[in-house]
Amino acid sequence: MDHQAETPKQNSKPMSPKAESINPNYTLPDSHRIIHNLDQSSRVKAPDPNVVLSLQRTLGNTATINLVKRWNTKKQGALVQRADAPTNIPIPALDPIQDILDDFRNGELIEKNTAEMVDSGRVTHYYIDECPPYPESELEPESPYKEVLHPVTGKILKIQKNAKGFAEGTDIFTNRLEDPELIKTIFVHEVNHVLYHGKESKDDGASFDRYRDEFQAYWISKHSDIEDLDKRAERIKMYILIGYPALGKQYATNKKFKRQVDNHKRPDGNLINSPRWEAVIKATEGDDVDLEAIFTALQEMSSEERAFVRDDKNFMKLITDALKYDDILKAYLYLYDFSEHAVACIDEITGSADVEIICKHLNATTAEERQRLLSYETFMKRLRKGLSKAEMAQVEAVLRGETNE
Amino acid sequence: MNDIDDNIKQWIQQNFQKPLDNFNTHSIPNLNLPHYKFFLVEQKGLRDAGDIYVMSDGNETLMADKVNFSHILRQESYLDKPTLLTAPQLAELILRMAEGRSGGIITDSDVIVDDVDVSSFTPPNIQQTDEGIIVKFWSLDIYMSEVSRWTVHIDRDYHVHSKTVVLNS
Repeated sequence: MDHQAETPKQNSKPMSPKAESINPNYTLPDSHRIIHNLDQSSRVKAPDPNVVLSLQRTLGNTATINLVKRWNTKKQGALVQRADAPTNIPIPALDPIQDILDDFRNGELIEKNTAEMVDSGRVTHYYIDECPPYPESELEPESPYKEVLHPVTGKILKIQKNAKGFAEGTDIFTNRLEDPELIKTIFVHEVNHVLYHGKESKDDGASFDRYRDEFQAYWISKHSDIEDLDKRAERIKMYILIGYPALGKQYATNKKFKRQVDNHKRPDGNLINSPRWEAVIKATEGDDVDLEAIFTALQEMSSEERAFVRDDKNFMKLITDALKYDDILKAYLYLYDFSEHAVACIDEITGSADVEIICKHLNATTAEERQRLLSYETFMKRLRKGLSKAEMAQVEAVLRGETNE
Repeated sequence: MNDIDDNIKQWIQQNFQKPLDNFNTHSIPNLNLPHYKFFLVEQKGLRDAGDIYVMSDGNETLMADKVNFSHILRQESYLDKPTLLTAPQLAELILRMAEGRSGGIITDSDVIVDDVDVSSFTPPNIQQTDEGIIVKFWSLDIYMSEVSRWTVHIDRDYHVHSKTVVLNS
């Protein structure tokens, strides 16, 4: 099955209106209206909501957000008229995540996978302003923290007021009015945390596993543009030790932790936010390897994804450590984009080794694939081992296209 | 330290109404004062915005905010003993306990990202004045790669006045 051909499933969360179909009646609760928040933070008069709506309809979400964010600058002054914001006019909700997800769906591999995590309901996105304030909060208005309620579960979340984005389990929260490029970075980063397989990281913010988790998330998001990989590793290490006090303290006081951190120069997990990569990790974690789950994951990978994981030594080690003999060969056939029929030949040679069935499968492949199989020495060697010389001649004839049977 | 541990546990129970195993507390001794010790309370499962900074002397546990920070400095008579903390320590304590910010203090300009003019960079420093002290430092929000320059005045009444400029917004 071609993964790319799958129809994205809808997110289980009710969606806010898209830019193309703005519902002017969609309003945010009075207590956390975006323009109100903007007004507080930038200390300027808020834009007229009708102007915002008009801009949104004509320019789209991203441009409108950028305009609204820079409302007070001279540059924007010529474009839009400042006005006192009437409090009784509904303010349309900007919904930049829809544009971002659209970009992701047509973007690079990691972006496609990140969007897929949302589309499949594996992660759910919320804007921070969708979390109502906790009515019984005793925090002072000046507190750097705020208490809000999870918009669905009602769980109380005590968060830093200046948070640009965060994750709570598999829920990812971002600021509505943030720079869309930053939201993209946050999204990739937080989805990587959701997929991170280490167990200790989730429970202990001072563990080396948490360091690994953060290192990987920064590697593929904020610092992914640093091409010199050693420099990228150094930058991330420096940042984490500065920005995560619990990890910085461990580094300064725990020799083993320091050694682990100093030796950790590359990420070693899922670098493309792939649910299939995650499935392979899970399938190899327990005492009994789940072969079916591994092959399903490999089968569902796109060619682009297979090309990526083939070049990733950690992924390949995962496969070669978990599988044996013919199963490794089957995995390689999937990873090198051979069809189900090629894989079925290995199943058949492992089972009853019926040459007629093998030939039938080979005949079902394309001429190009038969050529590739003929020159795939490991595959041919395996067939030779399981078949007689006469049977092998029959197989080779099919592969060369010399017979239709 | 047991009193402090117990006090922090009580504080968590009062403030979160959740079982204690939903939290980790991490002591950061580098930011300790003689009486008040610094802790990071980690809300498990809440990533990148859920670290709560507190200080406790065993009798009270106070969460980060300017009023609490002033109270702590006053209780410690900090202005009479300015050598209690180095400039980077005080700067980090301000960043965490007065401002509740994650990220960290920049002590070396090598850390600063490319799009910031580092020519005016100075490591954290403290100036004594007749009105109190002025602390100047640069901070880095690693999540955003945002560099900020801070000027913080702690007056004789221990009120904390902060000014900050983001240098690469």
